[in-house]
Amino acid sequence: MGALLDVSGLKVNFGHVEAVKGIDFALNEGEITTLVGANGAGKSTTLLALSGLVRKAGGKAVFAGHDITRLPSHRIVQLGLSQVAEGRAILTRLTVRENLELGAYLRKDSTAVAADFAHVLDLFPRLSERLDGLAGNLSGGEQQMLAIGRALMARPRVLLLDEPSMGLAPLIVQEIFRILRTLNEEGLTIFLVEQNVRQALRIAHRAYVIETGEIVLQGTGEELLDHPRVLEAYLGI
Amino acid sequence: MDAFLVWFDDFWAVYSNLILTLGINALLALSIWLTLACGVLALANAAFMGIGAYAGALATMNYDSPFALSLAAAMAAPSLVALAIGLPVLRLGGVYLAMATLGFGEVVRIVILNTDSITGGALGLNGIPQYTQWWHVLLALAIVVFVLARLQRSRTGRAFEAIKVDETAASLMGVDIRAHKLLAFVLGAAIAGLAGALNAHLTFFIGPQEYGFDRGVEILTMAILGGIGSLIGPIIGAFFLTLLPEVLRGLADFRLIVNGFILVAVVLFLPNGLWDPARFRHWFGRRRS
Repeated sequence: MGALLDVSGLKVNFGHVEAVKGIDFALNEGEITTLVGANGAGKSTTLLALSGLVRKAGGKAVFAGHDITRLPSHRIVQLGLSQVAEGRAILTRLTVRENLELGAYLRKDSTAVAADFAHVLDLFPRLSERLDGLAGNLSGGEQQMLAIGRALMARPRVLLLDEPSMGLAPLIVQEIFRILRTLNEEGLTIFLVEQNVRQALRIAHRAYVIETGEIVLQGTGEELLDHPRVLEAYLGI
Repeated sequence: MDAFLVWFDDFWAVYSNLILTLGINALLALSIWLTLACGVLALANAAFMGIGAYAGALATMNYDSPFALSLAAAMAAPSLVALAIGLPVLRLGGVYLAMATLGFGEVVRIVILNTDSITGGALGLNGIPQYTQWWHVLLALAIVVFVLARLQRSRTGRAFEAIKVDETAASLMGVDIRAHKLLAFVLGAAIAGLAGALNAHLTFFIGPQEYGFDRGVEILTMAILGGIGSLIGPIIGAFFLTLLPEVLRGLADFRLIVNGFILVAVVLFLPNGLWDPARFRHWFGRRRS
């Protein structure tokens, strides 16, 4: 079975610094794949490069048969690769409703958009209470939910998430991971970049560990949870 | 009634120029509002106004073109220039874009200065037929406001808003950032060109000095002072900034000083501009309850 997203030899440079040094990974349809690693290992850079927000210095990315290596970011979104950026990138001066509606910016099937809107509110009931409030007044957890909801409004085939646990209380983190699992059970392919290694490995089918721009380990989520190197370096056991 | 008509004739004879300038300045403020609405600080509008003024005036004087056609030329010429320079220049952000567009403005001024045979160089163009009537300005302003209001509520307008708040978020939603910025830049150039030609056919004379740095800053000030949250803001800002020196004329030598103080006070106490509905609600809502 071919992978839904296949990345090979991906390289990203920032000036003279090689942030990502030619990594390979693949996302299988219907699975949760995670890329974990420490601060500055190149996780976010990898995601930004996938979405076309950062220039790739080398390598190739093929998504559902399309070569997306050199595509501009709006075309990549159009193909079905939606990213929830780090720091949530909420439009704080717009209302929650407007944020969600902008998520469906590229879609013209208004009845399906309305259905997805209802579905997002089902997933995140807290958002429905604050639909007409400014997004900037939401709490951190609610903003993360809004960011995920907004990405879902594009009806993506793959959801890319950049550290959804960042700066959130443990309870909220658990809630968000539970929702990611639900979304996956509904058939959504998810690529999760995380520093919260334990949580990410628990829900992931496939996992990659990145260190200073290189993939150093890969396997199923369970395998890596028990891997001595992961235990020592990331879980502090 | 007769007395009123006589009074009005007098009034119009004295103030018609000022009143038409109000409308033209409002157009200019709206032209820069368009780029500001998607978070782009481009200061080329004075240059676009100049290109429009010269294109329109030359069409009228050298080719006897009807006024409508001159105005069309005045909108087309700066749009084409904006399209050509927009692609490379709009890659820049923030102050760098402001610098680049200011530089472009200087280039336009120098080019006009040095093409004497066409533009009259430093002497400018003299004897432009005075075609601009009050209703031309009013109609132009009405059409521009209508188009911009429609645009603001359209998909494109929401994309502008998203780009202004967060470019990364906007592109992750599938907004084509470059195309939208270019659209705002080119449309703004067309409006500025229209204002330039209306002004040229009002003032009889145009020269390269009118479209330099000072004018660019004035256009920006009008928009920011009025408030860029809505379309009403730039119009109010243009009216305010145009009328203030006239109202203060009685102060003679102190005029510019007081003028400056009032501007500083407005910026200090109304940071979002003169037209700030949220603040009005805050002020008057309190009193009512």
